[in-house]
Amino acid sequence: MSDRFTELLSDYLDHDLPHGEAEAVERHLAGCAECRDTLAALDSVKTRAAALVDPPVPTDLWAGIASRIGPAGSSSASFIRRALAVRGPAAMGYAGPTAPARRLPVRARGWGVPQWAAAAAAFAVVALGLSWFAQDRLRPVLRQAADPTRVSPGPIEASTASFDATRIETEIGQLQQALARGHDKLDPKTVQVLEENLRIIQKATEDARQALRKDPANRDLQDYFTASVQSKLNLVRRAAALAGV
Amino acid sequence: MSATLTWQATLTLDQSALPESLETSDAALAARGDAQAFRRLYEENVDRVYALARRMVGFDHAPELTQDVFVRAWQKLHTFRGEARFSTWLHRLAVNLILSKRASFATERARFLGDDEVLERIETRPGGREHSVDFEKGIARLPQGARMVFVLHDVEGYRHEEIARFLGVTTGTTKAQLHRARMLLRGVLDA
Repeated sequence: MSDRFTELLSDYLDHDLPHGEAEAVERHLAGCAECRDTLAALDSVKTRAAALVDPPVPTDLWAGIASRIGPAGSSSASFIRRALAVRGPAAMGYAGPTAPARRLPVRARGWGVPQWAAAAAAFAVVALGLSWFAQDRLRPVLRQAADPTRVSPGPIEASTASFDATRIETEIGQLQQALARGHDKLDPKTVQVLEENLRIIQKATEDARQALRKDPANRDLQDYFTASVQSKLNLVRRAAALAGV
Repeated sequence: MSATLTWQATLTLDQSALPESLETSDAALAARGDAQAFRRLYEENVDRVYALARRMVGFDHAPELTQDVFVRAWQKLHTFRGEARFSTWLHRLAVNLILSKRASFATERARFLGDDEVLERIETRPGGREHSVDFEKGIARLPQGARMVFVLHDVEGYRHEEIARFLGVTTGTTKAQLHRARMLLRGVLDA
C-alpha cells in the first residue's frame, strides 16, 4: 500500500481531488489491489454513515424545556384551558359544555370522511386539553402527593372525580368500537390520529385516577380533574354526535 | 385560534412529512410566543437533534444538550427569517451550540479514555453483534476531532467548507480528520 495514495482515497471518493490528482489515483488503483480494497471499505463506511437512522429520544425532554422557556411555555395551554373551562368548547368552534349535543342525521352507511375529520379535530382538542392538564397540573400534584411531609388539606369526597373518569373511559371504549367498525372505510392517517388521541386521553385519565388514589383529598387535583373531565366529556359527546353514533 | 387551526390541519398529515408551509407557520407562531406551536416543532425535530448530540458528544450528555438546543432556539426564534426551513435553521443552531460546548465534553471524556486507547478500541473487531449498533459505537469511540468531522460530513451531509467554518480550521484539516475517521471505522464494518 502506498501511504501517499492512501491519504488521497477519501478525497478521491468524495470527488474532491483536482483533475490531475484524480487521474493519478486512478492509475495507481489499476495496479494496487490493496488500495482498491481500502477504497471499497471507505466507500462502505461513507454509505453506512449516510444510511444511519436517527434513534428516537429515549425520554421525554419537553417537560424540562417547557420549564426553562418560562411562563410562555404554558401560554397556549392556558389559552385552551381558559377557552374550555370558562367560555366552553364553543370558543374553540365546538358546542359548549352545557349545550345539548347536536346530533347530525344518522347516515346509514357509517361515518363519512367529513365526520371523521370533525371527530378527529374534536379528539385532538380533547387530547390537547387532557395532556396539558396532565403535564401542567397533574405532575406537580403527583410530586406533592409523593411528599411525605405534606399536610393534607382535609377530607373531601373523591367519588365525583372517580366517577367522571369511569364515564369518560366508557365513552372512549364506545368510540373505539365505532372506530374499529369503520376502520376499513377510513383514511388510515385519520384512523391513526384518532387512535393516538384516544390513547393520550386514556393515559391522562389513568394518570389522574392514580393521582387521586394517592391523594384523594387533594382539592386542587379534584377541581381541575372534575372541570377538565366535564369539558372533555362534552367534547367526546360532540364527536360522537358528529359521527352519528 | 390560529394555533388550533394549525393543529387541526396536521391531523391528517404524516408527521414525518410535515409540509414546509406548516413548519414555517409554526415557526412564526412560536416566534410570537406560542409554546404549543414550538412544541410541534420540537416533536418534529427532536429525534434529529438528539441523534446529532448523541453522535457528537455521547449518550450521557445528549439529553441535556438537546434541551439546551431547544431552549436556545426558543430564545433565538426572533432571528429566524424564514429564508431557510426551520429544521435547517435549527440544525445549524444545534451544531453551533454543540461545538461551543465540545471543549468541556472533550476534557471530561479524556479523563476516561486516552486517544491511544480510543484507537485500540475501535480497531477491536466486535463479533456477532448487530452492525448498525457496532457502527454507532465505533463513531462514539472516534477521537473527538475525527468524530465531529465525520458526523457532520458523512452523517449530516455538510461540506468541508461549512465544517471548517464551524470548527474554525482549514478544509485541509477537516479532510484529514474525515479520512482518519473513515479509516478507523473500516474495522467495524469488516467484523
